[in-house]
Amino acid sequence: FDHSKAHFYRYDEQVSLCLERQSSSLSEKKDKTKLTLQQKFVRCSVRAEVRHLRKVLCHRLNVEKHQVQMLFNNESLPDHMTMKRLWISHWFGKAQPLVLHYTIKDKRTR
Amino acid sequence: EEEEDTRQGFEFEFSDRPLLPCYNIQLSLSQGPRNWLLLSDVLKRLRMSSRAFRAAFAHLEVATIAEAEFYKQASLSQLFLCPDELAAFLPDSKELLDLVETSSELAALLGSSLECLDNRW
Repeated sequence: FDHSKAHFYRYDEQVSLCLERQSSSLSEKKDKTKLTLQQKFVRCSVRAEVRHLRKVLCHRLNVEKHQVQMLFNNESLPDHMTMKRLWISHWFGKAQPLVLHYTIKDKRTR
Repeated sequence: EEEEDTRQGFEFEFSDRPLLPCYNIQLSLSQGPRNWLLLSDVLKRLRMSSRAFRAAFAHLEVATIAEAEFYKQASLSQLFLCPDELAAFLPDSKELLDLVETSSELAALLGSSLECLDNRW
């Protein structure tokens, strides 16, 4: 066994997520198709953090980082929370996938 | 080397269908835990027979584990504490289960797409 690779994220336990878009304004609804993930089921390492998820979403949806907010039960999730911690604190004992929401803010608002 | 560096980063697998269950299992003492799908789940989704899969994708590693050992390891995970998710497996069974290791090729076969982030994020 090559121990030099044991820390690779791809060997970590993986978490299964479902990312649903939460619309909060009429203008967002107009762009709903464009700014909604077509592939909403996501799998990643339990060590991935909310900020990594935001970064990937930005790339997928072609928006800027400050526009994306991750939510659970309408509450904003801290950037440095790992998926493992998120699962244990919010989804423990429930079936996969863990359902998260995201909002896309207007580009002009910060 | 560049590809290897990329593979050290985070990988995110995206799919428009619910992802097949993924199990972090250590198959031998000489190998650390890795991520596996049940071959039966893969075949069902691809609508292929085991023989056809093995012939077409001989280079994808298929491993075997006793169902009891599989259950023992999977049930230790904090992500599989929902009673329904492991209900199909028998804790004392000596039957063998076929597993196929997750990879970018397998993900593509199943219709998923991958996003990679390097360690700078």
